[in-house]
Amino acid sequence: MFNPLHIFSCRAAAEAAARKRDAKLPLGNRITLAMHLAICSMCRYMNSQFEIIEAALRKLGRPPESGNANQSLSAEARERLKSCLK
Amino acid sequence: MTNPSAEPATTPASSVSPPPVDTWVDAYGGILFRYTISRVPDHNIAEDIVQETLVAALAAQGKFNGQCAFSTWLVGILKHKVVDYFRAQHRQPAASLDDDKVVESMFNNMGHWRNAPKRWHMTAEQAAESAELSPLIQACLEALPPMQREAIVMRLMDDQAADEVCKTLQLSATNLYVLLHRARLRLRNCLEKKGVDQLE
Repeated sequence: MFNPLHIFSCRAAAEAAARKRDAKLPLGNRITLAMHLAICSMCRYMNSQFEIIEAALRKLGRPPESGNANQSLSAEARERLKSCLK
Repeated sequence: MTNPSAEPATTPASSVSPPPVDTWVDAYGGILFRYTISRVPDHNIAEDIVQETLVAALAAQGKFNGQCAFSTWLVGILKHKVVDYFRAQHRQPAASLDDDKVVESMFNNMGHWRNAPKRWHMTAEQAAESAELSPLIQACLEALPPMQREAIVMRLMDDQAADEVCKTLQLSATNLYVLLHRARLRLRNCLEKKGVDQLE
């Protein structure tokens, strides 16, 4: 999928940078990705954005402990659930 | 942050019996619902999953041994119910994935960005604590195609290894990587459109 001749396109760099976060990239791809990132500021921004997105998703994934008025069970849903548990 | 009177999140470790059933919905319904709605962005489905969780907890309450907070125990059951839902959505294993036109349109024929990514001001450390970012990323998650959303929710929100996610969603590793890659690019694009680059 990663032909070294094509990795210097941003499209291929984006794919490699994303995959690197889920799996180990072959050495050749790691090197070509690093070379691309060294010369392409746009893809460097993308790469740090991936990191920001991961941090934000992990935060979102933590079970909430405090109240949030915007997202709560509706009164009807509460009543329905209560009758269900009787 | 926590408001124990509204939603008691802890049960004394010494107590081995769960709180009375008639307090569950008021005390824990909100926590369970918020956990679910961030993963399954459909209110009716989320409510159904919360209901299934509470019913399962009712049947299994004898197994609660007080070693963790009751809310933690409930969330443990809920996690399984959410995964069951994802799994049910994937009864028919997808042999191949359709093209993602949105992702394709991010690059031109030469593979260059059509809209250059901007520098975002926040760091990953700031993102991990940012209250402003959460609703934006949640809205962007909701906009993802379902398979991409489920893949990224399990992989990153639930922090599961890629091979675990493959098993649950019955996907090949290659297809999972494609879904995750597309999801990451779509989230990036969506967040930038919402002005995340200006957040600090």
